[in-house]
Amino acid sequence: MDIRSQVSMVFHLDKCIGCHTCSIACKNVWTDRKGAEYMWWNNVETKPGTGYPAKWENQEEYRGGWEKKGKGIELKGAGRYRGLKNIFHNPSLPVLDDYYEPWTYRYEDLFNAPEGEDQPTARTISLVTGEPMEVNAGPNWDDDLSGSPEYARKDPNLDVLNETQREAMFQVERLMMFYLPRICNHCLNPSCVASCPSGAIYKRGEDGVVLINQDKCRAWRMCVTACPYKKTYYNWNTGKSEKCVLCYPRLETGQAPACMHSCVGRIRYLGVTLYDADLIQEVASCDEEDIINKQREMILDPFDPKVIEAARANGIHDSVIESAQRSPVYKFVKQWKMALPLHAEYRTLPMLFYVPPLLPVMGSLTGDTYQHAMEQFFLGVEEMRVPIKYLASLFSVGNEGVIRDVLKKMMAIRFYRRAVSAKDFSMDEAYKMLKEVALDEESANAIYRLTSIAPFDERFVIPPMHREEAIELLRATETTKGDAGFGHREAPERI
Amino acid sequence: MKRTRKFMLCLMIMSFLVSLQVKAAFNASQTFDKKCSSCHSIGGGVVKGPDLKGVSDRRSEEWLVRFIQSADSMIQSGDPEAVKLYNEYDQKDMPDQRLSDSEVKAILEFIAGGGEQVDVGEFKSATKASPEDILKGRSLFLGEVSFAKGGPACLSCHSVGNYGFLGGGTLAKNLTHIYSDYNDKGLSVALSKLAFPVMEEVYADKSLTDDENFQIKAFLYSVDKEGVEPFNFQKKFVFLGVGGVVVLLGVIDLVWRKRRKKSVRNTHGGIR
Ligand code: SF4
Repeated sequence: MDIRSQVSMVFHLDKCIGCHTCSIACKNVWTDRKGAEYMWWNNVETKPGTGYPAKWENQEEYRGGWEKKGKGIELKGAGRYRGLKNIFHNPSLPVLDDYYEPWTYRYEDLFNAPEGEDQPTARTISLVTGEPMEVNAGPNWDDDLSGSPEYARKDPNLDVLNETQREAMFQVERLMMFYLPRICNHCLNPSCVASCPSGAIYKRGEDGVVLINQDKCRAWRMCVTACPYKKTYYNWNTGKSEKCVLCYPRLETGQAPACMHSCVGRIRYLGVTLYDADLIQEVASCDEEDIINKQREMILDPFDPKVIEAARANGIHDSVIESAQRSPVYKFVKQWKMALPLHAEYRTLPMLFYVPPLLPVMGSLTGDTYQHAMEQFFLGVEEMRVPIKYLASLFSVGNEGVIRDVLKKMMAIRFYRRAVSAKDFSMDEAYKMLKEVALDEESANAIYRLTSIAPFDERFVIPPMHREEAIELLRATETTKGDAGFGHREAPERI
Repeated sequence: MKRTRKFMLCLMIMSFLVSLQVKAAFNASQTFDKKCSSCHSIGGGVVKGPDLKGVSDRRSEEWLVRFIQSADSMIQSGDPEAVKLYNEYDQKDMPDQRLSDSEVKAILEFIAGGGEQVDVGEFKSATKASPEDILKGRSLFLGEVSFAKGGPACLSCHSVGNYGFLGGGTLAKNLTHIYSDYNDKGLSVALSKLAFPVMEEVYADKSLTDDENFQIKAFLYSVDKEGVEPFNFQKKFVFLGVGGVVVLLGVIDLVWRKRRKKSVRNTHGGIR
């Protein structure tokens, strides 16, 4: 056993209202710089939809992630030989058009325009070229199914559905959507790290945050191809790649990352998990149908004395173990088995988990009324507005049973709580439902609490990091202020 | 201070005088031997170029100086006498000589004085060469075997027949018919002196041994006899270059045929 600690996340999709506050918070803190305008380390996309960059899930197009080769796995678009062959021209890179061309407005036009018949307008200006441009794409262009069917119908996940199922999804009465907020998954088997020819990307020992060393990065952009989630971005101004840093400076001072802190829907949870690093290779290269379960098995019980002992032996501080015991991520992922990784088939072992959305599943049209409660839920799975198959293609490598289990749990808890608080549902029925999904009353209440009413420090259990204090013993940290990090450009040394 | 300056001035004047002395020591006889005698004799008859006995009586001194310094440019400029001479001697080029006016005049004086009869000695004729000599000469010429004193192989600059990769060197003259050009003795003399503008310096202390001299001559004789005209690569290079680029682009296109060729977004922002 090689026990390590990882700060990981759960996003509860039922609660996301698609307000993009998270994206804006992140942009203001991190990517409001020249060359980074087009980057959205946090983005929120509408599903079904093509996402950002468009069709990022189509790995035949972008060649990200790992693929199984014999007994092991190989990078799909990079790696030792392919990387060397393509080092001077990486052929699967997304281009700016796949993201979008960032723009601003020439506001001075409003003040300087000569007097005329019409109101002056501020001209749209490209943030890349500075020239006037026509806007025809953006980071959330297909927000709320706008532009459908042009966008929604081209969602790569629809490939798993047959023609009739697909058509059914786009009938006006059945139209559904949900939001998918995405940040870097801070994977356990990160393909970006494996692909970097300069060895510039690393996973921090104490919390597993994946970072790009801005001094070592040499702009090969292999990571941009290799990350199947397209969460590393190339800054054309500094000539370095950048990615989500999980707001580690905030974590180190006990604050939640900016996107999580600002989340209006309170959909986000963060906490430490302990996992066994010896299993990474085995889990990453196992058969596709086992990935979800095996990854869950990797995450260890922080109450198990053996795990605690091994963690201590590996230098994990007691305070971190204690924090792992209170971790909401551990509860959602392992204890209640409700949160699932996004596209685990890319084999990077992502450590951001999603509770799949129940609301669009439940919604139905009876006569002229749209209803959110479906009495026949357990029976009428075929009647669901969103094919379980579609959710399975996102969250469970095609395994519909896993999704059904989670949705049933959520449904059971909903009915149970209705019986408790609104009392318009028979308690006996509720107990029967809980029994069917193997939940006791205590867990049902705990899930309800964490889902609905948990305060800040229950949603974010940030491990005490001793990094700042440790560094300050050795270095005067204030001397590097403004001299290092993103956007800072150190000219290469020439002799 | 003043004294040092005076001393420096003295030193400079003296060194200037010394350099004049050196200049004056220009040896016309040696120069003729080195630079002219492979093609010209003084009263010994035509070698490759005309016999120079009494040349100063035939032409003006000014004309001679210009011709010797650059025969080629005179022919190019259409000087009637130069052109006539050029045609008379089978249009053989005379190399430009890097000699000053006064040096040329010194040589002309030397010629007028009748020169010294330098005995160039007897040379074994190439017609008597064994196939082995020819083969050895060939190896030397192509650089398969290096010259005893380390001179560079002939092929580095010259081409001959159809030998060598892509027609051999292109920096200097093609030597396919040099044997008939120079005749047997002339070629031996030329090879022993190698008194041509560039070769002179390159082979300054790397002259050929007598055996090498003979073997090279034997090889050149055999090439001349075979009379295989060199394949003209010069023009072909352009086509080779263009063709090569096309082939290279084709290979690149093939190797990276799975590359992304366009964005998933079309020009109007829609998704393909
Ligand atoms: S801030 Fe929260 S609720 Fe709003 S879009 Fe982001 S994740 Fe969803």
